[in-house]
Amino acid sequence: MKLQQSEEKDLIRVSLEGEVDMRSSPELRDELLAVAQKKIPQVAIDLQKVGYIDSSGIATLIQCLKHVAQYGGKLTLVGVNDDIYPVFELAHLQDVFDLRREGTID
Amino acid sequence: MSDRKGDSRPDNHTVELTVPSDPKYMKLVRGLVSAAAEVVGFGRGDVNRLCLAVDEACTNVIRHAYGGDHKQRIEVHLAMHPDRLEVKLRDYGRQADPSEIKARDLADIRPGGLGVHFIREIMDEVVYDTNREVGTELRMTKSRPKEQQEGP
Repeated sequence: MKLQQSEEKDLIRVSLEGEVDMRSSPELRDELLAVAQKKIPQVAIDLQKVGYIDSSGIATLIQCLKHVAQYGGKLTLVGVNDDIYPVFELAHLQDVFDLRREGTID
Repeated sequence: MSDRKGDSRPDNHTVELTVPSDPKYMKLVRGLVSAAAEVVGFGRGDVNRLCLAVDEACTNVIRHAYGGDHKQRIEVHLAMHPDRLEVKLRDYGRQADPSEIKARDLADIRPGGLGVHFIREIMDEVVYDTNREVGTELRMTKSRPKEQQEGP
């Protein structure tokens, strides 16, 4: 899994590429914790290039959601494609996360 | 060999893979499950879900049966039938009481415990067989939706 970050005023975008599974989730957890510690109001995680996500990946995103909510920030998952959206549905989390099919927030 | 002639269910409808209990091999397992599910004729959504279910089951073996030890082994056995895929996962680790393997309450939004829920939601049949000296054989079956059934 590859990870890229870009920051602009009040927004940090984290773009993921590859597979988010038991192998890559620990690294992602550390990266997202560091992102949350910056306390930027808007956090966007771009999943457009993620072809697979398992329960450990979902758990990592839940942790991130909680960390961001703690400081009053907002987490949006963008680029949620047809391969991974069903996993959010299986977990009954499609209404817990702000999920966008588009790659942008607006 | 000759007694195989005319057998509509030869052994080549099953595939087996043994992998170390290491997360880096799970992609290999998913690749095999994906290919087998395509042979049976599952659509893309079901292929993805089957990969997820088997992956989650392997993750549970690594975490719970082997306690995170990456040097043990997991045997994956896939049987491709015209109407269904049967998956057997064999481990040689700690046995769990099948009645204690529970999916968590989804209303409780927290990390962890989702894997068992995914497996039960995706597969039609899930049996944890601990009736052996060591380890567990997990048997899972997924049938194709009736309207898609033709056979491999």
